[in-house]
Amino acid sequence: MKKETILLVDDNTFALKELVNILKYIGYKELTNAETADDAFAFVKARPFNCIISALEMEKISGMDLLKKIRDNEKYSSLPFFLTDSAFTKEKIIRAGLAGVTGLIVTPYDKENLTSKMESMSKDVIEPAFVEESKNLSKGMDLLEKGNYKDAIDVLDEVVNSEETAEYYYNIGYIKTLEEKYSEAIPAFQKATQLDALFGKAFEALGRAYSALGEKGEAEKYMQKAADIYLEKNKIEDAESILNDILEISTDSVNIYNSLGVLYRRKGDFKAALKQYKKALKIHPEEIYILYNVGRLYIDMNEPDNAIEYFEKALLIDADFVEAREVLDAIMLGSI
Amino acid sequence: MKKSIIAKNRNLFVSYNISRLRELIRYLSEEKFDLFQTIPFFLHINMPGYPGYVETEEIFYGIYKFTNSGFYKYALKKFALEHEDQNKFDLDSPIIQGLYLMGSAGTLTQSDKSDFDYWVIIERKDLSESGFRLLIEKVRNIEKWCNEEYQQEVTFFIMDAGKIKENDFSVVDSESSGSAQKTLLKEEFYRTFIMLAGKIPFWAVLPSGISDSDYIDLVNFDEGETQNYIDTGNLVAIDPNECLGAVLWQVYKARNDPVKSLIKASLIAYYFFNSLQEESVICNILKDKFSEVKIEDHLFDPYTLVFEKIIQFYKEIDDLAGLKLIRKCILLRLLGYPLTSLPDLSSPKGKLLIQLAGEWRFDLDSLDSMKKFHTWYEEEKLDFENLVFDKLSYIYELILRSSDDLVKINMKEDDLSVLVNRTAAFRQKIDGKIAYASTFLRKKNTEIFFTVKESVTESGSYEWQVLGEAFSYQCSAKHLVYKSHEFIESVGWLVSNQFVKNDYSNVQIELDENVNHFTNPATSFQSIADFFNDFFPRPDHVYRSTRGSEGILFFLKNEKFSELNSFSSADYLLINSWGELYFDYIDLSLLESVAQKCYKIAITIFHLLQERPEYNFTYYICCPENVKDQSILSVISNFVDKMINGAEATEPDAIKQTAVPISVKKHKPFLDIL
Repeated sequence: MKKETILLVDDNTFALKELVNILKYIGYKELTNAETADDAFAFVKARPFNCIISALEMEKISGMDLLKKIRDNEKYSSLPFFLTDSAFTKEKIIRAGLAGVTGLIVTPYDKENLTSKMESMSKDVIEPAFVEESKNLSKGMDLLEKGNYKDAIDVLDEVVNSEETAEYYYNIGYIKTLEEKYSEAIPAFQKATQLDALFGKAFEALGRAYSALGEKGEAEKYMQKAADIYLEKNKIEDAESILNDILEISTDSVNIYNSLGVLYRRKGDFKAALKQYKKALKIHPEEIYILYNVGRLYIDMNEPDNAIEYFEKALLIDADFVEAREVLDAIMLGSI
Repeated sequence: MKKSIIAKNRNLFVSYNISRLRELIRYLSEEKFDLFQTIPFFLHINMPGYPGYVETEEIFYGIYKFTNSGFYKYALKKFALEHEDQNKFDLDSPIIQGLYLMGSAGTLTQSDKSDFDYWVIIERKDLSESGFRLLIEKVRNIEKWCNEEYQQEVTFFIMDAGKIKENDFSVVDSESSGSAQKTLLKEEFYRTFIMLAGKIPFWAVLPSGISDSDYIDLVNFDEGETQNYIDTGNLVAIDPNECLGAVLWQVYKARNDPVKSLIKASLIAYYFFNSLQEESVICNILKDKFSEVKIEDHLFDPYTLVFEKIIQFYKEIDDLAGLKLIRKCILLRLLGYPLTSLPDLSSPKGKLLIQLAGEWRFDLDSLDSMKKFHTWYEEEKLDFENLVFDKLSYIYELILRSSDDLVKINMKEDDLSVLVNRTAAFRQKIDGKIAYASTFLRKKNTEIFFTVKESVTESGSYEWQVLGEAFSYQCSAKHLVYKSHEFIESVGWLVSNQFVKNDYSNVQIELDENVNHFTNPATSFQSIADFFNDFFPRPDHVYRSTRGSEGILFFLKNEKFSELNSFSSADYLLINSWGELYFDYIDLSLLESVAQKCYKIAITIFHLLQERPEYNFTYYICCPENVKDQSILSVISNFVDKMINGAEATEPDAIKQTAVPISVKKHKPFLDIL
């Protein structure tokens, strides 16, 4: 469990709950919710937080205004502050950068992305996307002040009008990959994934680019992310292909075997699923989620006695594992 | 061969049943789950000190092979029963053949507030009359205990297996839901039941959609173990002749939960228009999928299939407005309407919510607004619910007009009258009638504190606002829920919705200090509430005849605040036998003397008394404390007494007044509720 205290601000309680669920899932338990910027500011004054994550668009006071208010106070000048939005335009990025945002998070939320953002919060890193845009803006403003209107307009036009779709950056990355310029392809794919957090193809390409550079860890991370997205979207064949590729480069294959198990279970190939789960369990015999997955598979296979064995194993390791307890109770009560 | 088919299907059914139980457990608190696990044991035993005990030597209880069930094992552990006690739980002739949970439990529509509806299936012919009465006493005792100790609504419907087989659900019919529903109720049973203990219905282990003759053939196989199954009959198709009565029943039930009723009525309409297609029966479609069912998968929920079919129905009839409305209703149902809250998004319910919202292009903001249904203005809630009621009426008419023959609703005339007249009392809009509040406010487990506040409007006139504050729910702010220019109309709204507690502790009256009242609203409030609370709730029998006036309460006023020595008008609330409350007033400003004014009120009362002489009619006058013992009340009652006794009550003025018939006359009932 992580100890950081995080203040979450969003007037959309639906989105707020989604964010809470994911943060809890990745280990952050000390969460405080505020439905307005006013409430958030009151919380900040009342007790210390390690980080703030706020929606950009809110009905009364926007996340941007909250950010400015926070940064106006010397005491909070370095408090990590993330803004969330479903569509960050260039203008929003520039404004957020100028106001002192720590990072931007694109909604709908994504576990991997949130994990990396949270990990970066103590590193004081400003995202390259708005550093670059801010530079262009400053350059444009300088040209304006010097009276060089034509060049200023060109630069500012570039800031405002340049293409911004995830597909556009993916295409750039794709071309660079064809030219084997992997180092240049990577930022383009990264940009694409920032703009569309569920862009499986871009994550896969990013992973493969890292793989070509020999960076196995990064390669596996992004390919796994792509596989998860494919699984989520039920693109079973794509997920299977990429998971098998990861196995070749992977250093720790537990997650891959587990994902393959999920994949085969969804395909209805229970034997293959069981084989993959068992491979995962050979490496980590006490991993409760995998034990749970095996139990669940046995229910699908109409073998409740085997299912009971695995749920009980999971509960022996973690007696508070609610899902396992509930399914076990259901099996016990369902014995007719 | 038959044995192997049944054994294989039995395994599939057991897995399916486990997946349903798993979902049921998800939505139960630890305490309610404990109760749920314990209830079957109380039906199996009759022991002093345990809930449901009835003192007798007679054996009228027990569940078939209960000691094989998980519920029995749980009870042994919970009550720390000794091993030697266990033999006595193996009963030779248990009465209950099967115990099943019905309805929303274990489906996506379950919430932490859902009732537990049990079907207790017996062979009636094997139970004596006294045993049957004892069983009823036992289950009522358990229901009461569950309510008192756990605040859990539990209902046991004792059913006869033989009757169910013939699609006769008359025993279950405690609310007169009607013999109108036969195949529809059987379909609901097969679609939603969770097997708890006893015998498995044959239907669940036989191939889907088989003909009646194949069904009989398979049921009568003689390869042992048949005694572990119960024959509750086959179901091939829905009888379209049941649909009109069933929709009418939903129109009636809609006053408690219009969203749920519209979903059910839409399903009935789907069946009506697809009745010739045997493959349309949802419980059979679901059974076909038993082999594919996976645990924690929303796609195999009974309601997922229902939602699919009703969406299909609205598309087939090309009703785009209906499609939009039913989609909203489905999402609200998943959110727990009217007491909405967001489910865990990783649960099957959460996943279906996200999936449907995405498919139907409801964005996060729209979902968020639905999730915050409790924060909608009362007017918005009523507007939405009226749309739902209108759609229900539309479905009723659609089925009525689409029937070739003269459709008959297969229901006793008395039951039909109750159903139609109760619906009319709730829905019919008549001048002066005080409207009902939204379902959210009327929901029985919503604790609401009301303030009746005298306020000045922007135009300078006065109005009486009713502000509601729901402590037991997530909205602690005060919301305007009703307003009227007259005090007693606002109080009438509270009493006709049965909001005022017997000790008045949930209502506060706030007066404007700058206003002098002829009759003090704050001190009159309790009298008004007392007078009308006696009329509620209305029993069924009053709806078997036409409506008639039963009571009137006058509130004497003076519009000229400077002249508070007399009254210039009498506001009144009139209640009739159907529990409808009407507001009106008598203008007395042109009459000079108090006696004349009293006479006019008296003659109004007399007209009402004459209207239904065979019934009791009561009246009450709210007037200032200091005159109560003086002239006004005694003058009015003297006039009334004289009129009743046939003595000539002379109008106390030279100018003979014709008693103005008050609006009672125009409140004659009419039954055209749709």
